Amino acid sequence: MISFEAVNKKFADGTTAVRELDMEIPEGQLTVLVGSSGCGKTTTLRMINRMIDATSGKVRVDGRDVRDVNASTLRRNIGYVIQQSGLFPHRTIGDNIATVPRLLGWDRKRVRDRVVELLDTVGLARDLAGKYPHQLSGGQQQRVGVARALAADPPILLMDEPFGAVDPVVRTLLQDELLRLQDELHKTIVFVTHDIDEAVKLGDRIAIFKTGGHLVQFSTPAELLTHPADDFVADFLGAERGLKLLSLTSLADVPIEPVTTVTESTSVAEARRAGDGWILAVTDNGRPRGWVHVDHLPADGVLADAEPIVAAGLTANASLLAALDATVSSPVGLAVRVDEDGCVAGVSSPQQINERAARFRAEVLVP
Amino acid sequence: MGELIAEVLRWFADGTRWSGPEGVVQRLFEHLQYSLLSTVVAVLIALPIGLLIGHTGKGAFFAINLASFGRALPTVGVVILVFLVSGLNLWPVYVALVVLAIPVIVTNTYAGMAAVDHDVRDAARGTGLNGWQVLFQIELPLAVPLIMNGVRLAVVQVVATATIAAYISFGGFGRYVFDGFAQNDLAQVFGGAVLIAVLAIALDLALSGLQRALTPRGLALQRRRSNR
Repeated sequence: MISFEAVNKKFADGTTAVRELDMEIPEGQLTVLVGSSGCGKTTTLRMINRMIDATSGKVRVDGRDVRDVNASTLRRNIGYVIQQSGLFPHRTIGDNIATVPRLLGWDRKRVRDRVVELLDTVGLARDLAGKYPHQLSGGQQQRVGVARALAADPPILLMDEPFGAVDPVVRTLLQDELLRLQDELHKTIVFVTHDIDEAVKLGDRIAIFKTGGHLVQFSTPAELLTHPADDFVADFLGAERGLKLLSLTSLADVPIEPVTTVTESTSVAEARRAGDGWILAVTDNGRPRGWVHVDHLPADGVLADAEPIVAAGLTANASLLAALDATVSSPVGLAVRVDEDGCVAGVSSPQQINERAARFRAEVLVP
Repeated sequence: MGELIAEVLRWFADGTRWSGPEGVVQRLFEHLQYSLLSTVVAVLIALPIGLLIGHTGKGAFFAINLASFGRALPTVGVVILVFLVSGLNLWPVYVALVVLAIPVIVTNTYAGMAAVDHDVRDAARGTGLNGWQVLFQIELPLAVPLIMNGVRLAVVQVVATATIAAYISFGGFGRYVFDGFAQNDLAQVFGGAVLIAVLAIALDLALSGLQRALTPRGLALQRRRSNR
């Protein structure tokens, strides 16, 4: 566990980055520090591994004052990931990942095995080990950054806007991977971002900082969205607080209704007999393709010749927000549900989704 | 003009010119000795200073302005000054050449260190490398191309300036230049000048080879790609 006790940080130029910070970061959870620039979130993060030393107060890791530990020794036991990945450009990917194990004096075979294992863990091909950082995409570099931080299996991981420099599609992917990793590894992760949506998506707990180094609120995402501490927090959370709340719960408990599907290889004539309005086209192995109206079918040929309104399949892990979004963009107002293999399992209606949302509201909106 | 070139060529063609205690080969060894020894000593002094300033970030102003100071310093003045103290030996030559070479190496070493990406340095520290490890495993390898640029510049300057050894009666290619002037033998002056220029170019080529060899492979690949 990481704790801050009355921590202040004043820089030489007189600015106060962190003011009287008291905070306990729980073990095995992902804590997000969020706020606009200059609010002290990065300074707070960097005080944990002594990249910055506090002016006053105590920062403790597992009960020990970090100042009583040699900085390099401390840092070798705390993974560190930064925005531009900070990979060493003159070292191969394998050597980058091997940095801490080598500092710790592991033997060659153990280092080599660990590198391979980590490439698998972060979803990179093993043959990338011999490449250099500039030969990788931004998203791949960031994965290597995470692998390097995890190399010696440290219990704590510090991540300073790690996904800030990659495009939105890759960012979403990396966020999902981080959540998957955290499900397996249960690290104590401290994650800095200025993106509240990222904070809500990733955080078990969120700490909101205000310019001048004040911690304004420190609570779970649900608590934050339902009971913002003050106007600053409410403003920071943005106008769609209610919708954001829906991103915190999944479709798992929403019932699945049966739906008639027609495979793409079905002839148009046969497809017409399947229904008299919108029908759900699926690939031959059962994955959703989209909605097709029987009146818009071509004169002959197979269903694959039609141009469906694409419908993405939602797994049980998908959020209620994603489900609501799916119903709005579907011509029949239904969200398509899929099983773990991605095959169509049925549909859910907005009413069913809303019912679940209402129950969730009741759970989190305790007065 | 054509006459002079012909005379210079004749000067080179003279077989007796090349061997013996006053021959070109002997002068070459002398010139190399002055130049290389001075450069090595200058590197030994300048490199740690440049690395220290680059690593700590303290004294950057000094490092940046040292090069201009070096250019402004009259080498002949240094030679005479040291000569007054040391008397007639090679010390004035070595001191002057070392003093000449230091600034450009310090400035380029600092520039190389300053060019190391802030994120890379931050990540190195944050990953648990201590100060020395950051310096030798990260900063130095990344600064190698610029450091070597500095050494190459220094060598060219030193080779050209080592001519002054002859000014206080020692050898090297400067012998031809000074003797040629004294004997009003222009061909000899030009012959000496050509030899100095060729040596400077040859050493620069050799050092560019060394520069390539010392530049880490990943960095070289990256530069090649960004130059495309």
